[in-house]
Amino acid sequence: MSWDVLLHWMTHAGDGSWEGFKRAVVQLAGEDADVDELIVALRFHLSDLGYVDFFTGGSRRWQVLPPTLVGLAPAGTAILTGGRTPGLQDAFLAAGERLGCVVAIESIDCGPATLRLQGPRPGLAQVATEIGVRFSERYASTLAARIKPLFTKFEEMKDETAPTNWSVRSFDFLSMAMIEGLRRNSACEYSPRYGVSRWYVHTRRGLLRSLPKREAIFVAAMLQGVRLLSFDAGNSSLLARTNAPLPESYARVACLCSGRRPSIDGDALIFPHVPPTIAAFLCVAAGQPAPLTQADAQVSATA
Amino acid sequence: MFRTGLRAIVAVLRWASALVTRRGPRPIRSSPDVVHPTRADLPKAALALANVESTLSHRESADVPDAEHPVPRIVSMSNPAGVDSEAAVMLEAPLRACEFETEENCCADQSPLEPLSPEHAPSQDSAVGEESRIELSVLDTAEESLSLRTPDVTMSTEYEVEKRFSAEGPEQLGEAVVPQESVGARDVDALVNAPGTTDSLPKPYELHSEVPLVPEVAPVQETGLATTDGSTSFPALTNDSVAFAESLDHEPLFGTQGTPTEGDGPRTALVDSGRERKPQSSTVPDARNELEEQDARDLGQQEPARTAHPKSSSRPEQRSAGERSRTARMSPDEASRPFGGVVAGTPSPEYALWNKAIVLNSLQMYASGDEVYLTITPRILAGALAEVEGVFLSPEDASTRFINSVSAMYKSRVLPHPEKLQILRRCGEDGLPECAGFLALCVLAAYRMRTEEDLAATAYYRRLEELLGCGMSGGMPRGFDGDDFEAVWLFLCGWLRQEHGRQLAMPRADVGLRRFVALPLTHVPLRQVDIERLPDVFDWAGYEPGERIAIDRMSATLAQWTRARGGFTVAGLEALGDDRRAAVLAQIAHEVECWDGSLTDASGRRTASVEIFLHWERRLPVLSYLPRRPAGFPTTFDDGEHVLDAGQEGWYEPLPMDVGDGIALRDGFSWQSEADNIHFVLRRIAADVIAMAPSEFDGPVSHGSLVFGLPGAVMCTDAVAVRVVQYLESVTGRRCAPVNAPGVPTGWRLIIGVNPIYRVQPPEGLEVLDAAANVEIIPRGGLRLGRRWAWLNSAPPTLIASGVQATEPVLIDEEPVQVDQDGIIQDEGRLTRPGVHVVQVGRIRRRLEILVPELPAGVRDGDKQGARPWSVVALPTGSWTILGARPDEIAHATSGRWGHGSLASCAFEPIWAVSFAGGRGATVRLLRDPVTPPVALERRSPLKALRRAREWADAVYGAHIRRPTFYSGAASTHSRAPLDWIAYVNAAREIKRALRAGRR
Repeated sequence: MSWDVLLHWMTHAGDGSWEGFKRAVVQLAGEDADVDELIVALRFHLSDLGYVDFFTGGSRRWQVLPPTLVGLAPAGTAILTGGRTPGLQDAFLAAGERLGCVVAIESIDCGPATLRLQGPRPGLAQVATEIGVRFSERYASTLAARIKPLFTKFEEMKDETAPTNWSVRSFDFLSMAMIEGLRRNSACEYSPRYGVSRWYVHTRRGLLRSLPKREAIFVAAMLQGVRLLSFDAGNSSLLARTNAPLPESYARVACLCSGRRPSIDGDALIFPHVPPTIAAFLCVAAGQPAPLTQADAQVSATA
Repeated sequence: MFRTGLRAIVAVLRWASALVTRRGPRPIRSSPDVVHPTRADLPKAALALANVESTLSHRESADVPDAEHPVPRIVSMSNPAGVDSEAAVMLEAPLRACEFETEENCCADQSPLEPLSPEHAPSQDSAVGEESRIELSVLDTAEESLSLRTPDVTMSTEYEVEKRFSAEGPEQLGEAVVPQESVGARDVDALVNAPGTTDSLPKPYELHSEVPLVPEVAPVQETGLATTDGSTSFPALTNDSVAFAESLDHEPLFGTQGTPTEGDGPRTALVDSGRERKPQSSTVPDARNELEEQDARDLGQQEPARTAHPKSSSRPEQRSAGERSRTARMSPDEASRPFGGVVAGTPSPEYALWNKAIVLNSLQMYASGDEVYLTITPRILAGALAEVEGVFLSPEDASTRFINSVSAMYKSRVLPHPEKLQILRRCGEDGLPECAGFLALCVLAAYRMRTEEDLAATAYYRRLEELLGCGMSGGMPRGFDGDDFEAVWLFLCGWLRQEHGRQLAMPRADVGLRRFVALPLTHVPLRQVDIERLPDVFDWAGYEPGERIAIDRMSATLAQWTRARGGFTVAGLEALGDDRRAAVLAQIAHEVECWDGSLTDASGRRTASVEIFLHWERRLPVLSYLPRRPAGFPTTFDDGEHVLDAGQEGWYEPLPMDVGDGIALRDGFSWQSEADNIHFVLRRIAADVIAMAPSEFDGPVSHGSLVFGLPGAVMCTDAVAVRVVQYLESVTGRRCAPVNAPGVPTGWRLIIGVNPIYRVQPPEGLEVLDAAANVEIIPRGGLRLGRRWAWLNSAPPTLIASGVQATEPVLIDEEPVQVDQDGIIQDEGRLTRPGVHVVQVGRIRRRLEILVPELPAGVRDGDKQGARPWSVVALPTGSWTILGARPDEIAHATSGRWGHGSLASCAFEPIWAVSFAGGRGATVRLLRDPVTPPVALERRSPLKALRRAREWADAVYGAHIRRPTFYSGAASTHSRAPLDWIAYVNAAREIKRALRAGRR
């Protein structure tokens, strides 16, 4: 199944509801597909690679992002992200070839194809100009600059009382799984009998602060001093846990360094080609310790 | 005596004409040719004029001998607050059983097609010879109608009395809009000689005729009136007037048109523009006419519009540039032809959108019997807009937006044009008649007719003016002409017949004098007060929003509902009972199609229903609640237990049903929430059996019935399960066993794949399982764009036709297509072609749009190239200063209470980060490899840059003098960092030195 049609539909619609997205996936999926898994995979693919924002502003809606030619960490490489239509795609391919760039269409099982462009910087910029989209050479850095650190978010959130008659589960960092009941300084999920659950972080005074699921888990890790992120300086890879993935905006920054979604190795999610500065920024912004560089390690050892 | 009376009128009108030419700051001067009417002339003239219409109307309608119509007699006159406020004249006159073209002719609870009801109109028997008092009031407002009041009925005449003040004197100018009909000699004679007419008024009035007795006069020519004694001159009157004068066995009193009379006073040409007639002076040219002429010249025309106009061409000698003649009634053939004149520009996109919505939704979509009704209500407007634009507004918002667009069009296009409403008799660029939106507004005005504090229920034109916002003139909205209005309707009627072979509903031939108001009223058999009760009917009957209800079914429903709930108003019931029944049913059918499923009770509480939705996950049936979300309902509905988020337009997202919900489902439930001080209720009524029919979703949704020939599902309680299964087996002809699904509520059974193919009367209590044979087109699948009927070309829907008989045609774009045994329409790839497709199943037609995906407007921002990229820096906890290569590139980073470091983002390339405090020691981190050499400070830097350069230099210098420790992000540059740092230190020294020198 080509999920380009899904992206075309979302692009034309501009925005929509989460249920509408799920229905669209069901329409396009084959009868034998595991729809639930597919919906989740598609959602994160579209979000991580900067095509669509999901659950914007706390709502259960999605919104397509403007088409942008995104420069990647390997210099001279870019991908086309954001909304796109068949017309825009054709124009992109034609302009790329005409301007002497290497155009590649990378088909992916659970997402729209990635349109990758290789060439000199002026060539990339010229392609963007010709097809009328913005060229952002260091898009990952720009995106990272917009991130509000989790510790700042956490400090700004107001304390709330627990919803009455809602069931609660907490995220346990030992088992890296949800457990019944409310744990201190943990990310907890309150669920009504009907409807959508809400995520909170339990604070020291027994109050709650509302945050999205992934952010709540990272804040809880910050409060408990649990390390969830690491950086492999040798391979320039940022490593996260599969059962505690990066918040969406952080994952997008990491993915748009390479133009690829993370690979899975055991219980680790590996984001390739993440520059050390961006990796350090993401770690600190997510409430994690900044990764030590080799030089820092040398200095520390010397000291 | 007649002559005396007529002379008084003429004098008044002539004086008024003279005044009009000098209107403004200039002093009013007497003309030797103008007879100054005295104050006493006002009642004479007004009463004479007032009596004219009644007399003539009477004659026209009944052709009753004059002997039966005694002359009114003034019995008293009063002026309670002086000339400047009000003057009232009481006269005695016989009431006559005649039809006036007044607002009272048609009462709220009565069809315009019906004769006056006994309580509103005097019967002929009782009126003739019976004297009643009629009060003629000259009201003190800028524009008010003269009114004739009797104890029983108030009749607004067509006379407009307008008070104008003169700065120089106490004179007050009243302008009487005189009807076209001439004065009956005997009436005037009697009036003028009636006792008490001349003595009561304390101050002199000056009456001015805003329109001439001549409908069509050339403004550039002087026209005169020659009485038989030659003493008075006046603009020429119409042929009708002449004819009438002849009929009175007088010589024609008036000179022929265009013949100037010597000794004329001010050169006043009075232009008749239908009911709105404006004085035109040859000495003071009308600016609007000049503009129009200029426009015509700009368009390359010698004579704008009128030469091509069929009516103009028929009477060219009576027209002049910039004038608007009183239109004669057009023949249907003539009116159905498009307006041939020049109309500059096109309607606004907003009006064009509404016009399209009206045509597609109201005119082409729905018909009852052989006639098409232009039924317009706020709810229908909201539905029409959603259909064409995919925007869902509340009925009130949709109505406001529609009114504003038509009002703007009327003011900007109709009013400035000399041919006024005639310009609407044409088709726009989209091939649709431009008048549809305007006529829909006229219907909406009729729909809003109800008794109000300051308006009678029958006051149509006032309500129309309220919507148009153009002001009143002559008892009608400014620029409005009855004959033109009728011609526009005829044009629409002709277009519909020609393009679609359908007949627009028009008033009956015996409509009487009130034929113009009857045009919109024909399309409003039920008024607002009854329409507002319809959601209760729909809810009571279990109709689905957007459902197409068969007329027979609706008829039965209305009868049952009337018995159960009391039904409509008396007028509504009458409309339902007489020959307007077809129109009523058409209107209700259209309403249910546009109904959003909400009810609003008297306290303002809004209620919508919760449907049951069945779909499959991993081949297992899953039941969910599917609450409706009509316009105005909150985005998030939270009653403390149920949290619902808005989903697809018109719906909340489904809530999975719990197995413990059996009792609530059986007994009914309601979830209540409040937002913005409005109470919202989502509810489901008690039921033992729930029928589910195919829907636009991925599975069947609860419905008022099963659908004949299409597979649905049924939920029922254990108590009735046996009977339900027996019945379903009889209508499906196969075994129907409940399925064992994990999510089915306790005490309930679920039967899937129920496809009724036999007609069997359901047993008592299972009526909901009746298989409706409604013809429907149900879209399934595909990638739909919003709620309107639009899909992506790469993912078109599958269309299912329900209730279709073998003999009924199934067409796509007028081409016949096949329907398989499951009701699926075999479109053979037609629906992958972009464009608008029309699908017709029997009498049902639906427009379906197939679109090629496009980027929304404004999404591409390729013009924003060159934005500076941002850089981010993460540093250990502490206070840091980030430095770039340029002296003004400086940023700061601090850490908070939480977290493991400091973060900074900057719009320059960061090179160094320094950290030091007041004491010893500092830290310098190299952030970039290789290091960019520092850039010298420019000689003519702005003050802000200098300040930042000082800060930059202080940071470098301050760190340096503290013998800093160096760190680098890369081992290879770690040892080289102090060397690179020296260059920055030197640059900082230079800057400090330069700044010191500059200070000196």
